[in-house]
Amino acid sequence: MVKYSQKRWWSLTAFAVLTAIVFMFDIVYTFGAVGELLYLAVIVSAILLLRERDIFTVAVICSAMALLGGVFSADGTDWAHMALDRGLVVLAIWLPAVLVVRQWRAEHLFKQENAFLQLLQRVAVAANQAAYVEEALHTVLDEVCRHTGWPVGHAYLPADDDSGELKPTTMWHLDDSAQFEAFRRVTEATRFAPGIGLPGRVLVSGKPAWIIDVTKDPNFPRAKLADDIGVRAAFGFPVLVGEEVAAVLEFFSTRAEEPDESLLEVMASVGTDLGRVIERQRAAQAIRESEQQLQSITDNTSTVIYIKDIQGRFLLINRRFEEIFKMSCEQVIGKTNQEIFPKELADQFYANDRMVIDHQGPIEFEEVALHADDGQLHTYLSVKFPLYDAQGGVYAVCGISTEITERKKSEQALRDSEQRYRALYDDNPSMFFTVDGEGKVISVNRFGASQLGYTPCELIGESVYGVVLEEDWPIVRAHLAKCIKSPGQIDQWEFRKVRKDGCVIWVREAGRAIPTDSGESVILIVCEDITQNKHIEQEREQLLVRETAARAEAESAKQRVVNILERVGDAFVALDKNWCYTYVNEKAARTLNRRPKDLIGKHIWTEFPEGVGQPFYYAYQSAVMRQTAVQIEEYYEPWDMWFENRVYPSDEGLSIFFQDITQRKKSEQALRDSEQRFKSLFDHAAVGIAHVDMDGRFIRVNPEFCKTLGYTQQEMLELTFFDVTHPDDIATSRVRMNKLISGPPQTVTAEKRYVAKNGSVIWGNLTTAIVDPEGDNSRYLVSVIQDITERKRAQEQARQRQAELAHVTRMSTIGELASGLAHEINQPLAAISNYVQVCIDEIRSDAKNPNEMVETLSRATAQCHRASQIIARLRHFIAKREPRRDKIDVNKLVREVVSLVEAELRSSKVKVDLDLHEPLESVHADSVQIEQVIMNLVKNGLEAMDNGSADKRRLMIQTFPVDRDAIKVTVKDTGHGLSKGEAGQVFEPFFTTKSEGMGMGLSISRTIIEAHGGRVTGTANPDQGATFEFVLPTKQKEPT
Amino acid sequence: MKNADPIVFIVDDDPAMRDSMQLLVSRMGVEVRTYDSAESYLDDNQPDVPGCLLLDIRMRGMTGMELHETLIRQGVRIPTIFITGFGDVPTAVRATRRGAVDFVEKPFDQQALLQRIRQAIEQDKSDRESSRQLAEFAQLMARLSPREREVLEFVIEGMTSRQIAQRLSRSEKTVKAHRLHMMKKLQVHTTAEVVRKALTTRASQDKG
Repeated sequence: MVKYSQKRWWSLTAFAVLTAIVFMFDIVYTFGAVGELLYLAVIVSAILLLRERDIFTVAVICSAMALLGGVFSADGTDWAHMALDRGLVVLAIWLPAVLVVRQWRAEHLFKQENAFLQLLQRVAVAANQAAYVEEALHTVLDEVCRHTGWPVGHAYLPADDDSGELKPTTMWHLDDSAQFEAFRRVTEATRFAPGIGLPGRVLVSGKPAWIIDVTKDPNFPRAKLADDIGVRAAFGFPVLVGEEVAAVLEFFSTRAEEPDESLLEVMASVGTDLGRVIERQRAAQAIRESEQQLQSITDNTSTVIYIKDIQGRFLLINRRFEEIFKMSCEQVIGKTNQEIFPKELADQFYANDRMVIDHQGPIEFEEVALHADDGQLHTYLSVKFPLYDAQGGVYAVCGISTEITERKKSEQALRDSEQRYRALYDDNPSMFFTVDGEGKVISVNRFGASQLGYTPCELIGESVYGVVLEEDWPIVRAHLAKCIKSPGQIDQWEFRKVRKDGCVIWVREAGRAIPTDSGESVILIVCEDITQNKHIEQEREQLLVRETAARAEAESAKQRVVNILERVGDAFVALDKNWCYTYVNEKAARTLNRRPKDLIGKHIWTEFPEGVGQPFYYAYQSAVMRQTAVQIEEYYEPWDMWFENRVYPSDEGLSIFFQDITQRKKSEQALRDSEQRFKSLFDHAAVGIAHVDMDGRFIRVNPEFCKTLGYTQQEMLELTFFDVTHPDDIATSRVRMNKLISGPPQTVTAEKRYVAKNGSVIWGNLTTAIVDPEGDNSRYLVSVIQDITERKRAQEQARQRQAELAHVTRMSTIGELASGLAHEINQPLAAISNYVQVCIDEIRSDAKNPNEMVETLSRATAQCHRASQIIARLRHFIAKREPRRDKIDVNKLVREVVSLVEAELRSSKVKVDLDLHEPLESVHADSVQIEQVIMNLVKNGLEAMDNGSADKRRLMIQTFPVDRDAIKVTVKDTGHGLSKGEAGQVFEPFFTTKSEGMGMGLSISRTIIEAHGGRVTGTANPDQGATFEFVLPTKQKEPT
Repeated sequence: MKNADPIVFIVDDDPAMRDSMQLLVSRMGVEVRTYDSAESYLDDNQPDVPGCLLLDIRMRGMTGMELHETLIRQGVRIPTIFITGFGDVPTAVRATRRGAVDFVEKPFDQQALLQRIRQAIEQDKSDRESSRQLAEFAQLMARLSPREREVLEFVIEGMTSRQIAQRLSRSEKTVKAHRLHMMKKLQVHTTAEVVRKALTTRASQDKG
């Protein structure tokens, strides 16, 4: 600017001097019009040499000089002439000047308009052609610089963070990069807050701004950062997307220049145009990205995704769909369910789709689908939801189906294994190994060995590394060490094994260390052949590599994407090459407990530093380094969670699908624990446990049960439940079993006898329930058998002791009754003797009378009968025999007892009143023992009355039914009665108020009655004496 | 009275015993009366004929022993044979001390029992005879004068006539005359006879 001003000054000065010379010439020499013409020459040369404004300046000077010259000129006499001359000269000076300047102006405006139009057009074309915003900005920088001729152009963009600042970019237009190196460096290091510097001002105002000379501008910080930044004039304008400033473009000149308002206006409209481009491109970019994500997700997810219109025609399917039904996209799109699926399945799908359309909202279904690859029916959990068009009407149904067959199967398998632990080890189609910490095989199941082409004997005792591919030794070694280090924890690993025939197979092993009795740990390993899975993974990888850019789709697709991303079962994140998040879906955000926008652009290991060193970390690294898809199911220690990750490397970085499988793992763990518990329970239970099928065959028996019965497990499994049941109990066992099978669900408990292998009888307390674990009628009985032989024996002994004691006390009673009884027997004997003597005499006499003798002898016979009855009664009473229960008539027993004490009653002058209820319901009891009780009560009553007055001695015996199902016997005396203290004690052993006797009578009576389920009591009568009574149930107790 | 037929009384609450005993005893040719309890026996009016009582010790109501005691208290003299059962022997022994004739323990030897019944009846007869004679002697003694009774006392003490005379301060002759009158009144012929009869009578009177 200085240069320009100086130059202008010099040229104006030059013209002033020239004009002064012409003036001098004009007034000194009188050449008439010649002097005036010189002014014309000056103005013409000014028009040729100077700019518009300066031309007018020169014109003014010339006009003034010409008029002044007229005053001073020699021929100044003729004023009119002179005025005419000078007037013509002035006119001649102004006319060309004005005409030329006007022409110039018109031309300039035209050129300028033209250039602006060209600029705008070029900008518009460039912007439209540009694939990216950056490209468009670049084009505009170039075009504006070309248009203005300014050498420097640069774009500022808003910073990504929330600071609201502008950040420099690497987008430059530089005519001479070396010349502006300093300025470029300064610029690329400077960010601007709103209002600061040129870009800051533009950002705040949203309008173009001009700086005449940046070195003199107080608000241009960059000028102070270098000695000479090499630029002077500057202008900047915003790229506006609506109200938002999407970029600020700035341009610099090497000279100081005055603001060019029209340029700035044009620039404002350029900015607006560019803004529209950016807006459009942003939208397109977003669609493209989401399309790609959709495609990437729909194709990589393990769920099946499809969209059908309301007629049921497929609009979209994902690759998983193609894989499982073995149909290509082309074959499916446009077809209906009915055209591609078997009728039953198609109807199922159609019905569910209709339901969603009618319901107008998402619904979950459990659906089955026939897989083309294995021909099996698989179970899916399908979430179906309607898609709405712009008018809000349903135009399609989108379905996301997650296969739950495997989950169901694995749960089922675990449950099965829990139930069939025995079979599990040898015949389950899984490989089982037990190895020690050094890797020596302690045991291996048949299946496991055969999968590797060996027999178990060939492997046991050998090192497990013999069947491991040499390259994978470190993996195995590391994981075995890990197992040993954390006993009880399950560790999983994958590696390759070598079969006996040399084939290499991929296996996945799950191991857990279990401490043994010796203190050493052994590792239980379940090994699974995953060679097939590995092949599938590789294929999938190849497909992934072949995956090309996504198809373009309409705006409606965007909605679909959002819907699908929201609902897709997996959490999904995408990482770029620098491990920064580029995409995080809702589910992932929820799982990671962050907002998506907080993660986007952030470095994964900066955000989640605790993940470094975790299995997932290595899995991601490995996926990137080897460029292979990695699937990993691992425990994430920092969060105490389990995740299943599918990691797919791509050109852009990594796509990671993951699922929180903590719940599943926990339930698996719980199942495994429960299986372990079951196994321990089953194997170490102190009670016998047997599983019995509907025919009574043993399915499983535990060692305790075998031990109890003395069979080996093998022998047991060839027997039926009836083979080991005591013959006397088989009938009731059958009844019980039928009751369980046909009756309502229940648990039945019973005591029954078994016969052991050696023939001994084992008493068992049996608890049986029927279980239907599969829910499919494959029912069996679970029996828990407690060996109660000892208890039974003890009970039996106690019962015998009691019987013996009862017998002893009966004998003692009889001893006390002996004299009376002898008398009772002597009575008929004496009579018999008399009758016989009479007959003898008759025979000896002369006058025999046979009729009389017959009469006499028959009387003797009657007395024999009487005597034998007394003996029988006595024998019954003192019988020492096994206690047994019969139906007995208590009234009869009362009469027997009264007979036995007949002599006592007579000698002690006791009057007996019998009040026996007839008929009395029979009781199920031991007649001898009940008779003994009655005897004890009667004797007790008689003895109580020994000291009383003879004419008051009355004993009243009553029997009568009580409580509908019991009878009561009361023995009431008029003796000395019971004191309060005695009433509580009379049934205690050895309690007696008499000098003789053991004091056992009432105690034994109570034992007997209680053993019969009855009760006996003694109370004092209100007037005199005491009443002893007992109650016996008439209902027979269930045989146990 | 002298020629009255003897009667055997049987008291037993056991019908079979009563029946068989009646059959057995009646074969002796004596009359048999049976009672089912002591009370019914006491209620019956007993004829004053020789006989014997067969009594069961154990009976409902009044026992045989109580009946026996009652009879003794009433002064009824009848030979009694207790029929005892097992364990009643001590009771029976006690009874014999009180004047029962005998006891038999069931079961018993019928011949022996019948023999005892016979003996009892005989003894009753003789008892009845001797008691009749004693009664007669007592009546004779009642007729003695006081002096004659005094002399009888000294005779019983074994004094001679002279000793009696000295005691009574009478003459020996007077004493002899009293003694002769006394002997005549008492219808005895020898001193020994008068002493025996007098002592017997006095003993029975003391007892009665």
